[in-house]
Amino acid sequence: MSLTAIALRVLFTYLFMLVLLRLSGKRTVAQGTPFDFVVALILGDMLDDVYWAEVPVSQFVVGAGVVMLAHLSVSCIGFVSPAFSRWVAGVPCEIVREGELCPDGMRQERVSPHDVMMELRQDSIDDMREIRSLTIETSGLPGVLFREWAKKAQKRDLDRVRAAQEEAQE
Amino acid sequence: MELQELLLTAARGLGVYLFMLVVIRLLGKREVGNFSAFDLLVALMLGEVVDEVIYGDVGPAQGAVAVLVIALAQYVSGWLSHLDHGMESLLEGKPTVVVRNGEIQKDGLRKERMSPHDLMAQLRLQSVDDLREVELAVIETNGQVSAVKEDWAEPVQKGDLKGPEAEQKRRDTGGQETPPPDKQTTAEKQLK
Repeated sequence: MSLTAIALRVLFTYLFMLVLLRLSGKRTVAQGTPFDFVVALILGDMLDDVYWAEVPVSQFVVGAGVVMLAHLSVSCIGFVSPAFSRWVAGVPCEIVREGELCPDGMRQERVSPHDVMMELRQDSIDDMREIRSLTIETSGLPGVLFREWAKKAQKRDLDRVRAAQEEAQE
Repeated sequence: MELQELLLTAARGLGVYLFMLVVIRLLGKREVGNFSAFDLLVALMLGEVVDEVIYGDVGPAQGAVAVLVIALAQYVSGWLSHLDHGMESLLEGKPTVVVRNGEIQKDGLRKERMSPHDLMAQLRLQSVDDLREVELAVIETNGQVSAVKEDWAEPVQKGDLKGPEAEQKRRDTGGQETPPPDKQTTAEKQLK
């Protein structure tokens, strides 16, 4: 197998994948749903058979093209129909509410109390009571919302911070 | 390549896509969103099996069986971890304490085969430049380092200032500054 042929096939598949991915519009893994990630893996896996000429380029174009087309269609349908989108991507699921664990949410996501503690530690939170809501988003990543009193002081609170400072110095 | 072969490839591509859509949907978000090394490996395994089916090197029935077995194993281990802490420790491991009250825990580092240099690098990623500020740093079961700061090093909260938030805080915490072990992420029992 000539080295030039390999180089050409690699270059072709690289450009092909670039075009496909740009068409899909997704930028990062975190933005997508788990399924976006799996599709990316499948497409990536299909490439190496082409490099070593184990599979004809035409077959790769058709296979990868169909997978990407199907994925785009699903995204489009999801955009048009919220119900469909909910089925494909799932819904955000609350696992902590107002300082308390949500057993229903935890069961749905098959998350244990230890997992919750780990999530909180990763956000530098040591007190679960500070949480208004901890939700697992459709991307699988957790989103934390704090209770009002646990939010960091903002610039609009400067007067009160100064007052507290003065008090502390007395 | 013959048209017929290409059409078959297209059909297999579509079939595989729809099948994977259902499987991933049933497995849920946990399997992919917050990766541990193993979750990533499972995602790779699934992708790997599937591509052979699209190219027709492996029959759809065989491919389906492989995918379903991987998916089922992952699903079951997820449930077991959720239900029983002993199983969870076995399947996922336990967090390792590497810093406690500003002091590096050498045995923790040894267990994780991590050098103090690596640790400092990880802590920098968490915006920690002063070890003394760290009440607890832990290497979680997914390999990430989490750092929880000492009370005096934490940012000022609205509840620390005079005002309605402080009132609400008193109500929500019952006046107790330190959370009970169930609510304290750094409590001993949460790390076991």
